[in-house]
Amino acid sequence: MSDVMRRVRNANPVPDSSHLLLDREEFTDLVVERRDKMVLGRSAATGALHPGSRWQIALVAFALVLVTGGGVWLAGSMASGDLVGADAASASEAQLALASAAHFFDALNSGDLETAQAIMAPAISRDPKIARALQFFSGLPGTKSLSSCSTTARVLWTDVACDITLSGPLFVATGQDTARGVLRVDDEGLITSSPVIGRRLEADRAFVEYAKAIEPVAFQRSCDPEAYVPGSVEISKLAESLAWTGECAQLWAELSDDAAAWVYAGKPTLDRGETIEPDPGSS
Amino acid sequence: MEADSNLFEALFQEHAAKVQAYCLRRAPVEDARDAAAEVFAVAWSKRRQLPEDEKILPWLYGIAARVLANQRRASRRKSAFLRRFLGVSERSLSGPEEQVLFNAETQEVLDALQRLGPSDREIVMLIAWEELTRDQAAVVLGCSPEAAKKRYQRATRRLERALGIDHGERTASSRYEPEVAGNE
Repeated sequence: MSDVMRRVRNANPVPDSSHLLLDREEFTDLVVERRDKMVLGRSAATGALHPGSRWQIALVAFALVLVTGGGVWLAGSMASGDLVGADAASASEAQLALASAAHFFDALNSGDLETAQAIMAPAISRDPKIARALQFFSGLPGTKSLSSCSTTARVLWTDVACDITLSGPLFVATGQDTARGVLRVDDEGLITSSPVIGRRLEADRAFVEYAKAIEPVAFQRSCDPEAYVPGSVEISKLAESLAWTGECAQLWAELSDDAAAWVYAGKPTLDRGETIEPDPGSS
Repeated sequence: MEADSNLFEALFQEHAAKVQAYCLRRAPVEDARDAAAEVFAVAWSKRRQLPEDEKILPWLYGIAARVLANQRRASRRKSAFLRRFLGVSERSLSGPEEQVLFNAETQEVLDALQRLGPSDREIVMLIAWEELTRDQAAVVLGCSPEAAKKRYQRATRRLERALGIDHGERTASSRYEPEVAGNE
């Protein structure tokens, strides 16, 4: 076999189809839904043939294989009560993916970077910048919460689409505190991609504008991408105007209330050292 | 009718997992599940036209390819609707990040496969993943064995380029012969 075909063979997303079937007896112990969608199940009902049950066995077997690798996440972390599973037929995959997403955001909110990075290990191993992005994102003020989640099972992963809400003052002030995004969770419960990391929100732009004017030295030291070598881990094409550092997140936290007040005030022209008093009538 | 049922039962037992795997390799789980079920529904309706034994699995794959193609067309219609009426694409709905995935090597190969044309990609996958011979792949693709051979050679050449594989002094005759794909 040629090298290229060997590589293609190794990339086979379903390398072994034998696990797609179980014994009929084993099947009877399992709960199976979506019976009405089983074309063969309907044929079986006519008495002409009876492969429908085996078909359902195959589906359940596949779900079990996926869950086996990631049961650890199912054990304890459906903490976010408003997460909603999408598809009963792939409930196990959905639960795993939702639990992983909830666990990840819990870790970010509690400042447990080690756990957050462990859950995103596949992405970080591919791109070390993501570790920095997590550090930055975790350091932003306010909570980051998921709601209205739905899941879509893919061959190689599960997409978890959620409303991601950021409660920090600047996100609220800019009117863009919630975004619909998709986290991609693999069959081990690890997040391979997250939409929030590096997303350019209005709050980013407002912070840059405000911090550059009010705290130019601190901004340049902690947040200015130009202070870093192009290609370094602090710089991302997704955050052109902001370096992802823990120090920058700290500056954001310090300026957050004032910057929000400045936004509420209609972003008046700023002079160095100026602060904006919140408009009493604008809360 | 009883004979038909028994024959079909045997056919299902022997090939259902492989057909499902074929679909899972090419479509999201839910679509693959429905497609694989549809394959056997179609096969049942054509049970009087079953090919000879060694061609049954390629024949089922051929049905699966058409079923999945229909699914994709339906999906494209949905995308066109989203673009036209909502001003969004399914891609934009699924989030801004492409910071994929589990295994860089696997992803690189899958990306390279995606860059091939559909027929090139299909013959590579049939031989590498379904472990068909080129002749069997020809049955799936509805072309002659000679055409399948040429298509396979072209596809692997393009795939090598996409993956940046440089063969240097390797000979053309040894380059494209898969051990699972010899003509029988």
